[in-house]
Amino acid sequence: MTESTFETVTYEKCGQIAYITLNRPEVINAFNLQMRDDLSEVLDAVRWDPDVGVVLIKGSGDRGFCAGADLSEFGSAPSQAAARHARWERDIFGVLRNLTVPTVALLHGHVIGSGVELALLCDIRVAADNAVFSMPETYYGLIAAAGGTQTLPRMVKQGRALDILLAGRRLNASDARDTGLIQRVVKLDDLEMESERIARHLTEIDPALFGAIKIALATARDLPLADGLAHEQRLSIMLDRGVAGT
Amino acid sequence: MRNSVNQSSDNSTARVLTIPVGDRAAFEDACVRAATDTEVRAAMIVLTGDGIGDNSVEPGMPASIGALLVPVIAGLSGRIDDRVLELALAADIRLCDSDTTFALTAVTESGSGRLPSDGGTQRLPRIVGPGLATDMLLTGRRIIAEEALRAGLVTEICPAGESKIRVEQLSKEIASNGKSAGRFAKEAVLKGSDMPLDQSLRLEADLAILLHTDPERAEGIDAFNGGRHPGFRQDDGSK
Repeated sequence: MTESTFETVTYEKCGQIAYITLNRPEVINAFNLQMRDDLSEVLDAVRWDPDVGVVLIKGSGDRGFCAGADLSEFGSAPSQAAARHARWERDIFGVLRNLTVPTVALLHGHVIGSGVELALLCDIRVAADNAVFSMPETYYGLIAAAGGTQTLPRMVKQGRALDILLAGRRLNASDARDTGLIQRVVKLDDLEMESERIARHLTEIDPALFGAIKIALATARDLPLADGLAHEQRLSIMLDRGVAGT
Repeated sequence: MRNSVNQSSDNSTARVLTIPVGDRAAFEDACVRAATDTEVRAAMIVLTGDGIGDNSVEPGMPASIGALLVPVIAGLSGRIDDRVLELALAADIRLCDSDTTFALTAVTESGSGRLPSDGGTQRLPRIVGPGLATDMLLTGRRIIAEEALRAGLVTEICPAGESKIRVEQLSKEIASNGKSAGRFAKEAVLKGSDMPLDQSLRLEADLAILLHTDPERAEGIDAFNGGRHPGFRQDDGSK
């Protein structure tokens, strides 16, 4: 087990399993600029570490996974152009989404705003039975900005996504599963054990195969069916030749 | 978040525009106002289908609703069939009475089968998924409220007769949100759904940053940080 502690994030490696823990429990792991910078470093380390086979993302403390963006720092950008530059200069949400190893979100307690968005950028979502999900941005005159307006309607039905985003609908764990926002609910006490069981299973998938699956799923989402089918064939041939998913 | 709304705020009527469906001219007038009146933050429609023809909804009316930038909430009861269903599908959020049923009978109508042409073949599969949409289109199958809820066609089932009240509550709740935030969130979801994910994420980010110029966003952040409710809200503020 190796461990690196940043100001807002803890990074541990245990064999092939990498644990990223959001670590501001006093504010339910609210996402601030420091956390963005810390996560950026951690995700870069993960991205280039051939020993990492799977990533688990969780929140520290009893109260929840993540309470959303830390609004005390909002409005600090000097201009819209600077804000736009900062958004794409270090696109940690894109890095997380495009990791070539499987990612698993462990969700408990409050999962709010960018907490939901982080979870939606992972490949697998496991929720404890005490998890509660909401995206209250419009209540405060904001909109989601870590992909939520796009990833949510691609995961749940359009009307439900609009209900969550516009009406601030709050979902408990079983509602969230029925809606399709998450796929697994376990007892809070079993969250770590169950997630590690899934993680060990995921490490058994050949990395090249996993990479190809991730690309194929993105293709299924973005391309017309005929193009997607052709792409799937190409990926399959490349896999057989040992060159896909890299 | 809140589940009830103060219903007696004088100004809130200006924020929620009710779009009437009985009279075409009044309907179109309301749609023009929903599109142009910047005080309107949400539009609501109450649809009670009788299932014996959809004369209350004429061709083109669903398109007028579908073109609106402001969030549209529909309260449904009775038999929501054919063009009435197509109008409901053009709204963003739908809720219904417990005894509401839904069907598309155009294709299977005896002797006069026709193609639904006000969005039935396009919005229905995008909202409920292709399997159920194809089944409803080809067989005319009538679904009940519970199945509509499971399919995502509606997001709430109300006790019989109460959808009219609930749609007003929900509309006021949405109309209490940031004005541009509501419109931008809707645009991000609907326009983004037609784009590859990468492009749609750029759209979301650009809308989010455009929103930086909105005084209501600044007020919302200030309110959050001050532990109070944003001043632009016109509700009881419970959350």
